[in-house]
Amino acid sequence: MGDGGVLIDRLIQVVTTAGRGLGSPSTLDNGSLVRELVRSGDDDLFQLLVQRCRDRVFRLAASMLGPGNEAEAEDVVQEVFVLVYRKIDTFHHDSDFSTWLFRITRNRAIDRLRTARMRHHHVGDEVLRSMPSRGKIGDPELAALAGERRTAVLQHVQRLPDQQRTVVYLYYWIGSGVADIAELLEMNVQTVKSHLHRARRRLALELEAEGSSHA
Amino acid sequence: MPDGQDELMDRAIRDAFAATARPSLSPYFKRRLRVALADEKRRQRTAKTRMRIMQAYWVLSGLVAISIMLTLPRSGSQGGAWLPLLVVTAVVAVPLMLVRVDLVDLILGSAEKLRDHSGVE
Repeated sequence: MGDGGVLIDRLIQVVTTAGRGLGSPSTLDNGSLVRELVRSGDDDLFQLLVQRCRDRVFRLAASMLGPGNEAEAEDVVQEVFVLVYRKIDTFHHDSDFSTWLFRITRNRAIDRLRTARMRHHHVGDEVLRSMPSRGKIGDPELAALAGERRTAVLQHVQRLPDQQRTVVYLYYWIGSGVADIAELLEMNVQTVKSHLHRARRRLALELEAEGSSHA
Repeated sequence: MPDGQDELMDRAIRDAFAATARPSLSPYFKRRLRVALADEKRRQRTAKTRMRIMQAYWVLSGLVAISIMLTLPRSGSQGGAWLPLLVVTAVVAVPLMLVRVDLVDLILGSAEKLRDHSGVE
């Protein structure tokens, strides 16, 4: 009876699953959601897709454009989703949807950087200086010194090569994990770690050369 | 770089960014995206309508051209020789003039699509 009971349970499970069809859209993975979206053209599915991906797309765009350009990053996110809406039926399922989405985001952010000629002056010094300092330092001299040190570090981060700068922004500013960065930038985890290490080494050398003590 | 120095630099960068607010999407983003998507839908609808009109034009002008050709004497009519040429020119040239913008869009769109799929940065 035991085996028969298991068999009946299994049969009920199969019938129930088949009856449910694809199930609720919220339980679908992104790939299946995109397939369903292309098939049905249902706007609610697209909204669900946006809801799922918008924060990561924004983090990627913001990390590429840098602090002070959050509004630009938001524009990039909007452009990306309009583009995805327009071209969703051209997406080939041979790659992951997220990979395709992040690639479009990177290309849009690069275009935005080029257009705005922000590559060499991401944020003005005044913007960096105006960023609030952490906590309150009683001694005004110490506070000024800490502020200068902070500004120096941020300025040198801006001058890092593109990939290193984006990785540093994602890791230190946005707080993404190494695995998340690897996925956003289509790199492996070791490459991300290597970029971080090289960026720190470069910053240390440059700050040392400038006579800025960071210790 | 020694490990100690790496750690110090790590801390210095953390301190520098600790005070910098993490970016987040503004509360207006959803509304802005909704408007942008509505514009995109409208654009797609217009493009589709334009395409249908063009197809209908091609079919109609083709039929007109064929019927004119059929009604003309096959040879020996000097006076009617210019008419087929005019009809063919109109059939080919007018739609080309009307769709030239679409052709440019198509070329640009293909280049963009190629780039997005190839991952060239």
